[in-house]
Amino acid sequence: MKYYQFIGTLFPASTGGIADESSHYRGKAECKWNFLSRNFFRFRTLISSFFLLCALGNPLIANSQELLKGKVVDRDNVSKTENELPGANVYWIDGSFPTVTDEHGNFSISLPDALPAKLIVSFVGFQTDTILVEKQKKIKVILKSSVELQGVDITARREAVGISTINPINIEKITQKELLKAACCNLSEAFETSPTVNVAYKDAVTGAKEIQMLGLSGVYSQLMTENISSMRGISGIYGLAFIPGPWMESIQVTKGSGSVVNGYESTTGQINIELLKPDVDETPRFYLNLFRELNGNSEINTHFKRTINDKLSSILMLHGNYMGREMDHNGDHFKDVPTGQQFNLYNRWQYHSGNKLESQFGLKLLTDRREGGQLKDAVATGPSGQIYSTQVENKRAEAFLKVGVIYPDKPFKSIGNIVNVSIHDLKSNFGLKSYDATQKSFFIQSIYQNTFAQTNHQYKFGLNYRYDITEQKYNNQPLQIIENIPGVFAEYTYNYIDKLTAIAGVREDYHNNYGWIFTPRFHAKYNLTDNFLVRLSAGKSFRVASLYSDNISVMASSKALKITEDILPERAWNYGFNSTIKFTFFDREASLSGDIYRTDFIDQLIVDAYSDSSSILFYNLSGKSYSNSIQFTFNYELLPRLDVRLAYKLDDVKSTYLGILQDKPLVSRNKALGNIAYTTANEHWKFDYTLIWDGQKKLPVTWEHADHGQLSSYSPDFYIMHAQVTKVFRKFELYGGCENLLDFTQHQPVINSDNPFSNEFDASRIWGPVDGRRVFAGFRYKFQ
Amino acid sequence: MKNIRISIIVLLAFLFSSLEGIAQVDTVKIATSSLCSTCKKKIEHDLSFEKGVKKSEVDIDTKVVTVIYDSKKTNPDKIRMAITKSGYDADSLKADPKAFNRLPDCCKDPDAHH
Repeated sequence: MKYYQFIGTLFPASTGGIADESSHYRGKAECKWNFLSRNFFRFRTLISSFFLLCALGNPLIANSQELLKGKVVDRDNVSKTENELPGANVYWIDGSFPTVTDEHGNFSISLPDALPAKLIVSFVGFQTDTILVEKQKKIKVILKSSVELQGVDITARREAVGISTINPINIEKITQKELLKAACCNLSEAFETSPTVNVAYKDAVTGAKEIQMLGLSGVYSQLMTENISSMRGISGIYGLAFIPGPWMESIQVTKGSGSVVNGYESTTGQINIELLKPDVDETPRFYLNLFRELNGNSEINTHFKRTINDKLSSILMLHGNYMGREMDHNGDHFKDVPTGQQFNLYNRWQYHSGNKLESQFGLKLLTDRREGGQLKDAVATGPSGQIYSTQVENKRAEAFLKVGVIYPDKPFKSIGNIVNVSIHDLKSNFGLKSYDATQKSFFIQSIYQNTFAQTNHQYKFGLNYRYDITEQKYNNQPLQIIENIPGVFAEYTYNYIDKLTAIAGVREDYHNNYGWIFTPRFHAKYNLTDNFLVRLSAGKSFRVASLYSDNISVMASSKALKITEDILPERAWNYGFNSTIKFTFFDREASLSGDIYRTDFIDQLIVDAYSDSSSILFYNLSGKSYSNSIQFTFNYELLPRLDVRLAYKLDDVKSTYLGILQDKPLVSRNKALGNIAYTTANEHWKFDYTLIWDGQKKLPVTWEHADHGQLSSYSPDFYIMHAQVTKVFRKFELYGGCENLLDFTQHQPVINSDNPFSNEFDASRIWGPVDGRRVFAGFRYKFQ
Repeated sequence: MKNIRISIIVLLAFLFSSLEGIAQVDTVKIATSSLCSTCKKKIEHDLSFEKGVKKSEVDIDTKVVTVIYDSKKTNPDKIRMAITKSGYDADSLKADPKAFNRLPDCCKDPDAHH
């Protein structure tokens, strides 16, 4: 399917195209499409009547020839002086008569046909102001710098998942409110109520989880903490479990290729995690969270915030996890969840000089140990009389320093510098296989940001350098990779009265092993009305595949790894289209959003689990490999304080396996999600319910006589349910709930579980939940 | 089946009558020493636990809290007392000093607020 056809599919006339492509899903898919296209048609009528109104209204206003004059300034709080703001956008709330201020901050704008009317004044780096104009007289508009944004309160009820209508890049923001909906012990559970990111177990022994975006493995999306790409290679394998839930302030999920500023990776998207900050009033001075699951898993989280003086502040966050009980839900003598413990520490410091200098320093320390595999009392079948067990031990230290220079009177101008160093050590064994690795990384980046003449022409320019040494040992065979990558990037943002925003970015990196890497990216957003917008994006990405760490789950199988040629780096293009409409329906806010994304691989490391039942083959792509992903999300406040979210997603992901184009294994083609959240009027009770439907997935081939005969080549579809209740008391909160309420688990997650040292053992063929119903309860105390 | 349906209707009718029928709703506006969004949240949170308070909303710009309450269960003086116990002034009543000291910095000092 070509890209232009994709855009067509959002319109009702061509919906047939998609239904044809997936004929055996016709029933369900088609009825969805009809429902959505009907709705869409209604909006189209609405929009055309809007344009008609504008067309009729214009001549009347043009005849009047009356002008409103004014001046736009900003006030310096220190010197109490006012600065003129040239290039600020000025327009009426309906978008009419857009103009920009001249070099002295003056503007004149035609009056609308009726007063009072609302005038919008916006300027990059300042808060947009809305002024009620009642009569024709000269006005002065004082804009507040958006650096002060943290003091501004949003009085309307905060949506849990905000879909921005301002940002040109398709970003879904998961706020703390949403994070509290799930038990959310760590990042891997944060996406439970998000349709965009899916999380699945990697295998049946390590408890490690992996995300999927646009139907592609998590390695194709870039995970960052505060815009530093911190989960790459070795640290990415188990990384999702290393960011505790209570540490997170919010998560931004960018669909499609991200900004060039963050590097050449990110094929399918970027996930950026913002952690709690010490200089923010909302961050509690003391926080304690205790969490316990019925299966024995226990956690403790605590933060301490100190404000040393008005310039310096600090926060210390601690996390501990302990799982001691061996659980075996299905009687296969394999632990459902590994036992083990984690200790995690994060200390950060923030320094505001009061004028130009801003600085941050942070330190993270982590140790995590997990033991999975057979229960202690299982029949030992190993060659030296041992049981099958897995040990995974992660140790990590990371430090970062950010130094920024800001210009308080010119908020659009800044210089930002980041230095990040980390060392990650991994030791693991899976039965008789072992995999050890150490990764040392150094990263430095400088970004200069300013505007050309007027503030609607913004640019960023920067340099960065990455140095990575990865030493790996697979079954004691050493492999060392040194990456040495300097890079340069530039990004230009054009803004036309907040209606059209376009970002064009390029970067050029030099990789010591693969030479020059050119990465172009483009994003555009157009607001047809204040509440109806379309976005387009296109971008190229590059990635050095890390054979073992990207595919760690194959270790939990007796299949041999066969690498048939030298592995090339991966290159891909991603194109996306998104449309979001916000509207009021029976006096309450609703939003509907539709996405179409296409990823086309030029080069890819193919992990072939189809062609040979006794081994996994690794080779370079020859032929087509793509992912088409379509998603619809509908959010609505059905009753006061009762929010409903419905989402549907179709992922069509195919690769060429030795000349045959086939579905990627373990990716469900269809997925649907429903979430209901209710808060009582006094906010003392909060209820949350999620239902997820996961469609069929193609499975890797298995041995003909494995266990109970030939296993099916497709997994069944299944439902998962989660529910949670929170009770807010004056001083603390209690919460409890249940994950996987229906107690649905995959039948036979471990193939040949009686004989794990045989040639026909596999714990990596995982398509559904491994652990059953999880009942939990927790306690939260905050001292503001 | 029918019996269950009838009993649900009866139960719902009872619930609604108990919520709406007896209460005598009144509104009061109280000037506070609230400074920022943290103060707003704290005042609204604490008031929601006061007997008879149905709803409260602090306007950050004017520092005025609008409280909707059941006049059979509470009165404006009790509400003002409750606000002082949270650490804020309420009209002419001064904040409880102990509670004030426990407030975050941004709620104590107008200059620390950015």
